[in-house]
Amino acid sequence: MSDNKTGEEVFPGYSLEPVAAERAARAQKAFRRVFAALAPRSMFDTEPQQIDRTLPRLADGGER
Amino acid sequence: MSLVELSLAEAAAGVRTGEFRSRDLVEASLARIEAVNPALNAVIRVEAASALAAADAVDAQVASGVPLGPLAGVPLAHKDMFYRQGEPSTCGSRIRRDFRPDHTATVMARLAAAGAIYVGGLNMAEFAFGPTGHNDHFGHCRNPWDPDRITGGSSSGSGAATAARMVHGALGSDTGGSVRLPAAMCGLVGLKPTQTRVSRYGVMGLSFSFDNVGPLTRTVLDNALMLQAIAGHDPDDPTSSRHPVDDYVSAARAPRAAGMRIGIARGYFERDGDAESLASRDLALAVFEGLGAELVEVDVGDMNAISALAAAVMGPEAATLHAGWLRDRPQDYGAQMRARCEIGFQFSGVDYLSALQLRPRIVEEFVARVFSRCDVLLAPTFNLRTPRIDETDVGAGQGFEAVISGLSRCTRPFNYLTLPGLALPTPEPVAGMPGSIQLVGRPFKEATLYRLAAAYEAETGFASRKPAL
Repeated sequence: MSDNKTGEEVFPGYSLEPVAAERAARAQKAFRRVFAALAPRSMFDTEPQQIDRTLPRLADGGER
Repeated sequence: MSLVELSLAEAAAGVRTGEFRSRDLVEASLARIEAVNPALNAVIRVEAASALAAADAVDAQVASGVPLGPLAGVPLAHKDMFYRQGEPSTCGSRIRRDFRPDHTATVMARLAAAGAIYVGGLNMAEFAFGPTGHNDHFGHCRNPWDPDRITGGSSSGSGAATAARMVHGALGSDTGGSVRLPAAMCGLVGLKPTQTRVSRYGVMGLSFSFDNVGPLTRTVLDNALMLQAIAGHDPDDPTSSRHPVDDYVSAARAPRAAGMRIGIARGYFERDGDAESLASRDLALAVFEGLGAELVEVDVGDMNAISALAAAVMGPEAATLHAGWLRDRPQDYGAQMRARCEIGFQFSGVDYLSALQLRPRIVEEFVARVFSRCDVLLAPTFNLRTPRIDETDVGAGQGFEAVISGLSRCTRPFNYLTLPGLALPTPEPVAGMPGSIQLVGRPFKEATLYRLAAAYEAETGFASRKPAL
């Protein structure tokens, strides 16, 4: 087990040093700012696998 | 001409017609590795005996008139993360230095079925998580055009070995630019296929939502030949697509640019870019226009937002894969690898799934916005000059995030967007090093990219340029 980590555990037995925690917090903050601007009011009726149906549909059309 | 100078297609044709033997090709490849690899550190393991035995088997097939696969007898080497049962696969890491998997990657099986010869494992960023080509465990990989400069990563050895004529082509993996960046910096053709186009069974994972396997080659036709061999649904990888596989080889043999609409990606892709690099991109645009393509301005939307969404997917997936080893063996990781994985722990489960579940809508909107106006989007593969190894050897120290984000700025959005991207050399070098553009298409439109790229290749002659070694 790592003994050079401090702070709250982010995974059983593993914690981040302050500089790493700050770096991670910045990335999450950037994501949440973007998500707030882009996301619909509800994500109801969505799931990750929808991408598998989307791609073949987008393959068609457009090209001269 | 030395046999190592032949393109993959020429080498395969020579074996098939009996002009030379596969053994001749493999011996030439091994001699080239011995001669130039000490200066480049692209090949981290040579498998000479098994390669020569495989070559002899192909030569026996030729002698007996047995039908040959499309890549029969041609020596290739691959990023050291494509598993072969019982054989080493280091993943560029200390942790897996002695790892021998119990199964074989579908892409390795398909290349072998096509007759390709495996001559060795190639250097790479540790666990494929780095855009430069640095590796603290196996030594940094060096660029054949200037050994003081980076190769690009994470498929560093795939770029260097192919450009330096050690092998006729190589597979890499691309999660945020890891095929396209070394292709770009080493003056090669490199493809990130559409997400799910190529099986990832038996391929080391980094971020399974973004991981892709793709070829790095010296010519467009070579690239199409390799993709043709590996593309298509794989029952062992249920995430691989059942969408029909196009005839990429025929597309690469039927160049066409006239009448095609090429969208110019500006804004995000030009910001903070080097002027000479962007001027080189402009020369490429002029070539396409001269070939009869129509250039159109397109609005690509907010790419910074897509990068932020991508981070919420890639971070947690990488952190999940590495969490146990990060806890138990932190000293066995390079500092940058550890620091990048740790970012992923911060995102909540809701963050992660929200970014994934938003993806279909974002892709759909991007395709509608961009590909309603053009057939193919053209962007720089990277918009900087190729940096020196020492100035990017930053580990996890101050500024490392800026180095990473600057190098992968133009490639990483397309991994979230799932779209195929084909890196090609620019018509003129940038400060003495190769420059690169990428052609981006609709999902599963790799054949369109090859057709357009082949026309550009014929006009620019980029494949005839090689590093002086």
